[in-house]
Formats: sequence, C-alpha cells, structure tokens
Amino acid sequence: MAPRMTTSVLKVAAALLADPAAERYGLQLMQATGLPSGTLYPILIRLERSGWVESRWEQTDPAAEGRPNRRYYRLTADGAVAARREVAAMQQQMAQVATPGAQVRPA
Amino acid sequence: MRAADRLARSMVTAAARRWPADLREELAREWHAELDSLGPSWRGLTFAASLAASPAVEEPDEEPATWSQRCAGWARALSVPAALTLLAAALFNAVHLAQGRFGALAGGVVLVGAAAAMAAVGGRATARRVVLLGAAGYAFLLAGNQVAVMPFMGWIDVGPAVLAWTILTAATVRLSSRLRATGRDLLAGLAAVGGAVLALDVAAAAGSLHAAAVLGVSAGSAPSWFPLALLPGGVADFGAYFADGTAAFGSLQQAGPAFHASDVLLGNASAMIGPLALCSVAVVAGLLRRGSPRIPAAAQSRDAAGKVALGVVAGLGGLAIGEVLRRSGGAAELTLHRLVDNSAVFGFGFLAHPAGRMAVALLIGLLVTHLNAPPHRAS
Repeated sequence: MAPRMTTSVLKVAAALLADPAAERYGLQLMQATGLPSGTLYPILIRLERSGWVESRWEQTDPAAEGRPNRRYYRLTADGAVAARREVAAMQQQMAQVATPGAQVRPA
Repeated sequence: MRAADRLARSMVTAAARRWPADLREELAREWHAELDSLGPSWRGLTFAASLAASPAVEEPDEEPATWSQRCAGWARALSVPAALTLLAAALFNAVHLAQGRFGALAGGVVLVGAAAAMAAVGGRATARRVVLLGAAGYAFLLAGNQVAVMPFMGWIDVGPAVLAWTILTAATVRLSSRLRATGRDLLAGLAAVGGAVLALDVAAAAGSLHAAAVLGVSAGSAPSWFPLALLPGGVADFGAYFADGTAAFGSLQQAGPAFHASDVLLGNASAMIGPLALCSVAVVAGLLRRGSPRIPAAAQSRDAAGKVALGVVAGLGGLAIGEVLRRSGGAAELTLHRLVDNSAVFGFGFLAHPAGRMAVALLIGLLVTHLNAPPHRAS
C-alpha cells in the first residue's frame, strides 16, 4: 500500500532520491530535509512498511568506533520508482501553480 | 550537561514505549545511538523532545495520528464524562425541586427515576472514565458556586470530596473488573455496589470536615452524613441550635428559620454529593452490565454533514436547556431556607454568564456528534 503523500513525506523521498544507492541514518536525513525527529522517524517507518524504504544496522565494532551501531535507510528499487513518480507529480503540480495554463509533460 | 543527557535518554525511552511492541526495542536502540552521535547537548534534548511529543503509529496499516486527530479524540473522551456530570447535577436538582414543591415522596420518586436514567446512559465503566468524571465533577462544583449559593463549596470542601470519590470509585472499578474477569460475577457486583457506597460515604465526610469544623459539629457522626444528605431536612438534628435563625458561615450571611448546625452541614453536603452519587449509579450500572455492551444501531449510517447538523441542533437545544436551568437556579437569598429542608438547587451558577451557556451548548453538540460517530477503537 502506497503511503499517504504529504509535504514532509515528499521531502524525505526527495532527500533519499538525491542518491538512491546511498545509505543514510536518521540524523543525516534530518539535516537533509530540515524535519524534526518526531516527524522524520514516523515517516521512515511508514515508508518502510510500504516497501519504499529498507533499513539495516551497520555491522561495526562499537568499541572500536567509539559509538553504537547506527541504523541506515535507503530506497528499495520499487520505492525509488514510486518516489520518483510522486516527486515528479508534485513538481508538475507546483509548475502549474507557478505558471497557470502552462502544459507540463509528465516526467 | 549530564542531567540533560539523562533527561533526553529517558524521553526517547518513553517515546519508544508508545510505539507498537514489535518496533519499540529497535527504535529505542536507534534513537539512543543517535543521541550518542549528538552528545550531551541541547540538540540532543530537542531531538528527544520532538520524539516524545510526536504521535506514534498505532497499527501496521494505520497512518500516524495527527495532533488534530488526537485533539478530536480527547474532546470525544472528555465530552462524555462532562455531559454525565451535567446530567447528574440537573437530575439531582430535579429531585430537590420535586422534594421542595411536592414533598419527600415526590422527591423519592424522582430520585429513583434519576438513578434509572443515569444507569441507562452510563456507558462503559473504566478507571480512566472515573478519573475524567472526577475532574469534571470538581470543575462543575467549583464553577457552580460562581454565584455564591452554598456556604461551604470552595476548593477546601470540593477537593477532598472529589479526590476521595475518584480514588475509591476507580479502585472499585478495578476490583470489580478483576473479579468479573475471573468469573466471580456475584462478587464483582457486590464489590461494585459496596465500593461505590463506601466511596460516597467517605467523599461526603471528607468534603464536609471543613464545614463541620466551622459549624462545631463533631466528626464522629461523619459516617452518617452521606445517607442523611439524601434525606429531607430535619430527619436527624445534631450540633449547635441557632434559635434566632441567623447564619454567618462561609459565604452564607442570612437570617431565616431556626436551625441546627446539622441542617447547614447536610444541605451543603447534599449539593456536593448528590451529583457524585448519580455518577456512581452510572459507573455501577456500567460495571454490572459489562457482558453486553450496547452499540447504537444508527451509528454507522450517518454521513459527516448529517453528524455536524445533528451536533448543531443539539447545541442549540443545549442553549435552551441552559436557559431553563439558569432560570430554575438557586436564589442566593433563599439558601438558608433550602438548606434547612434540604431542597437546595445548586451547581449551575456558571450559566449566569453567556460564556458558560455557550460552553454547555458546545459540549452537548460535541457529545451528540460523538455518539453518532462510528465506534472508535482509541476513544
């Protein structure tokens, strides 16, 4: 089931789409989107439940790193396709609002 | 910053607990790891505070609840206890009006009818609802004396009464529910009735101790104050006798018929404990019929516009009811007479203000809309 699209969800999708193969942890996504933790993490969980995002725990030695292992997120293949479609649709809508009457082709 | 770090960690731990069980442990681990990256700092605190304040996803296929949805849920949860309190007070006033105008027998008949009405509309009985009822009762009794009618209805009187009633009634609900869960239905019923009576008796005593001290009435008679408060005035007289009929206690500065200190004490206790007693009837009825919850049959079909229209109509009806209650309210100059024969009408002083009437109308509108909404799991 596709997640409900909100501005915040689109921000997260756009941040992950900037480099779909890259893995990011929560604080990085907070910086990239400007969203507070209380908004970001519920969205990540919704996206993961929808199959758009997958997560994994890093496998390092906490003692050697001097910090606990982090949880990393990245888009799934299906999620990347769906996220591109939704972000493009939003950009199209924004373009129509900015230039009323203009014909914008779907991305 | 150690204290800030400890606070931040306790906040993320508490925030994780609000999530579904299969996610809690992993989320807590993830957020603690992020706090490690942030170190002891204000950023860590804001990180944790944001998580603590954010709504959690309730179920795997459910959207996160927004703040507006949460507020709507709270409004639904509060409207029922508040409306039950108002109804209990209105019905108890009807009992006293009948008693004052038509005699003790009429008062008794109306009291039985009022109890039956509260039993019918009571709904579910949970400890949480009892606490909300207690909060509504406290607010009602304090606000009700805005036009000072009762001599002893300040926080020092209402506070102990409502606190005692809330604690003991909530404990009764817990105990009765546990007995019911183990199949001991008869014992559960007896515990419900016995606990409710005990709660009312202790509440009447706790709420009248200040009055007793001022009036010079011995606290030794406290266990009898609750039953006597439900009876017409003059059934039992004790305490000092005021032959000249001049009263100067609390907010009561009047001259009237000769009276005993017990008349003022019991009349005041009656106004306080009467609405709570009818709320207790609703709670006990909810406990006794737990096995067969009633679901309104019409709840499923009405659309949003219909519900709003119904709420508006109910709100307008609430305005009319508020006006009737205001006009039938207690006249302060007759307080002493009505205390002596225990027929005082009390509790709707806030209806003297337009804002009070609007609040009552809004509450009734909200309640009717809520009752016509489809059953909601979280409410």
